[in-house]
Amino acid sequence: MPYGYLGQNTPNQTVSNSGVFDISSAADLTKQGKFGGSLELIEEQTVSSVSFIDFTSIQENKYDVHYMTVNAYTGSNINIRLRFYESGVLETANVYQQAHQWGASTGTFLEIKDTGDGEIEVANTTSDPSSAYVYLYNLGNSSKYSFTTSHSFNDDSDDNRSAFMFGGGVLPQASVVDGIRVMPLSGTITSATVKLYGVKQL
Amino acid sequence: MSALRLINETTTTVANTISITDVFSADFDIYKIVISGLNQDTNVANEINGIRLINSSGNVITASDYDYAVLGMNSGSSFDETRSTSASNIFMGQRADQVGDGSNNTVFYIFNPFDSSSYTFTLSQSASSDSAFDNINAKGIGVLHQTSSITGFQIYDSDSARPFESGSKIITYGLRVDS
Amino acid sequence: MAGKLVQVATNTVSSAVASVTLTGIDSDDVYMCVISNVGGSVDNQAVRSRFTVSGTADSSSNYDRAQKVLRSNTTFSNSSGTGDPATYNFTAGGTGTQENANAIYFMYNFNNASEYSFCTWEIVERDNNGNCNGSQGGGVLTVAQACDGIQFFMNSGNITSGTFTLYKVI
Repeated sequence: MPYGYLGQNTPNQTVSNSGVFDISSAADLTKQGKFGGSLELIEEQTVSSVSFIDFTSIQENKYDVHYMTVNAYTGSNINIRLRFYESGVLETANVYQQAHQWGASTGTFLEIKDTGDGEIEVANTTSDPSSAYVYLYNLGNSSKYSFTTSHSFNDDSDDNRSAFMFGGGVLPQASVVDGIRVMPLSGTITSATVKLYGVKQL
Repeated sequence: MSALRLINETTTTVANTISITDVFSADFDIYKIVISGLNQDTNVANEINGIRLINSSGNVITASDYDYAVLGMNSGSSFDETRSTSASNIFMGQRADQVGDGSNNTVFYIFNPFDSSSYTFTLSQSASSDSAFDNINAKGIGVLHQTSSITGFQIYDSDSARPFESGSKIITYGLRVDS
Repeated sequence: MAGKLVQVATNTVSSAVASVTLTGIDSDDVYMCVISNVGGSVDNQAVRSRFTVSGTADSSSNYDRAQKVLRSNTTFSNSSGTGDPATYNFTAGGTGTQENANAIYFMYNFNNASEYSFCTWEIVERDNNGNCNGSQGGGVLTVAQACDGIQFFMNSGNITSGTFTLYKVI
C-alpha cells in the first residue's frame, strides 16, 4: 500500500497529503525531495540595538539559492543593506552593482542604481520599519557571481511617506560567499527579525 | 507538510532550448520556478529570448499569442520598458554570458497552466550580469492568451550560435491549496 | 530544520460574493497571500483589498500605496496615494474573456499591535480591454494595530471567480 495510504484510490497528486506515512515511505520521499518543506530554515535572528546582523553558517555548499525575510526592521538611517563574506572576509570595497525601482506614496519615483557601491540595497528609508524578501543566488559557487533579487516596503515618517523598492544586485566576483551581513546605512538597528532559508533542491 | 512542494529539478546540458516537460498538472494551480546560474556556452553577452509554454500534446507553443511587459533596471544606464501584445515567447529581461562573466538568475511564478479554461499568467523577477551591461535586473509579467492545458515550459535562445551552458539548475515547485 | 509554507486559510469562489476574507494571522511571522483567476460581475472595475482587525475589514482612509504599473500595450505608469479607504493596486478588470487577476502579496508586521501593517504585491492581470498589465509595489495601513487578515472585494459589484489562499512562512 503506497505511503501507508488507507483509502481505496491513490490520490491524483505528486505527493500525498493525507494518510499515514510509514518510516520507509518518509525516507523514500525525503530522498526524492518530496517530503518536508521546500524552504529549509537555516537560521533566525531577532535582534535589538545592534550595528549589523551576520549570518556566517549559511550552508552555501548545499543550496544554490537562498531566501531571506526581513521583518520589522527599525532604527535610524535604517536602510537595509547587504554585504557578503568571501572565505570569511567581508567584502567592503565599492564593487557591488545594483539596480532598483523605488517609488513613494507621495508620488516620487526613482531609479536607484550603481556600478560600484559598498553594499547591495534592499530598502531605502531614513526611519521607521522596513520589511523585505530577498533571493540570493550562487553564493557557494566559486565560478559564478553572487546575485540578489528583492522587494521591500517601508514606512518613512520623517518624510511623511511610505515606499517600495524592488530590483537586485550582484557581487561581480567569481568567489564563494560563505556569509551575509545585514546592515543599515549608518547607526543602529533598533530591532529586527531576519530569517535565512535554503531553497530546497535534490 | 509544506504547501510548497518540490516537483522537478533539471540540470542543463549544452543546448539552445531547455525544455522542462510534464511538470504542471491538476495537482497545483500555481507553480514557482527558480533558475540559478544560467550561463551561455560561449563567450558572448547575450539577451535570452525567454520562455515558451508546452501544451499537453507536448508541443511548444510558438504562436504569437504571448503578451509581456518587463521593466529593465540597468545598474549603469537608464531603465527601460519592453513590451509586446503579440509575441512568440514571454520575455523576462534575462541576460547571460559565459561562466565567469555573469549569469542569469530568475524566480518566476506561473498561474493556472494546466487549466484548459484559463489563460496562463506569469510573474517574474530576474538578476543578470554580462560583460556588456554589468548588472541588469528585471521585473516582468506575461500571459499566454490561449485556453490551452499547459504541462511544461521551455527556456530558449533563438540564436543557434549561443547555446546555454551545462550545469545550471532549474527547479520547479508547486504551491498547494488544500480546500 | 524544515521551514515551510503553511496554509492558514483558503476560499474558492464558485458563485458571486461581495467579498472574500482570509483571516488567521496570529504570529509575528511573514505571511503570503496568493490569488488566482479573480473576476468580477461588473465591467471596468478593479479588485481592492483591506486588512482585517478581529476579522472585520478596516475601511478607514489610512491606506498608502506606491507601485509601478507594467503594461504590455503602452507606456508603464507610476501610481501612488495616501489616505485611501483601501489598497488601490489592481487595474480595472472586466467581464470579458479571461479578464482576470492574479497576485502574490507578502504581509509584514500584521500581528504587531504597535506597528503598521505592510504589504508588498506583485500582480498580473488582464484588464477590461484584454490588455495584460500588473502593479508591482506595496502598501501600508497607517494605523498601529494588530491585523489578522485580508479582505478582497470589487470596486463595484461582486467577485465571481477566484481562489484566495493565505500562507504562513515559517
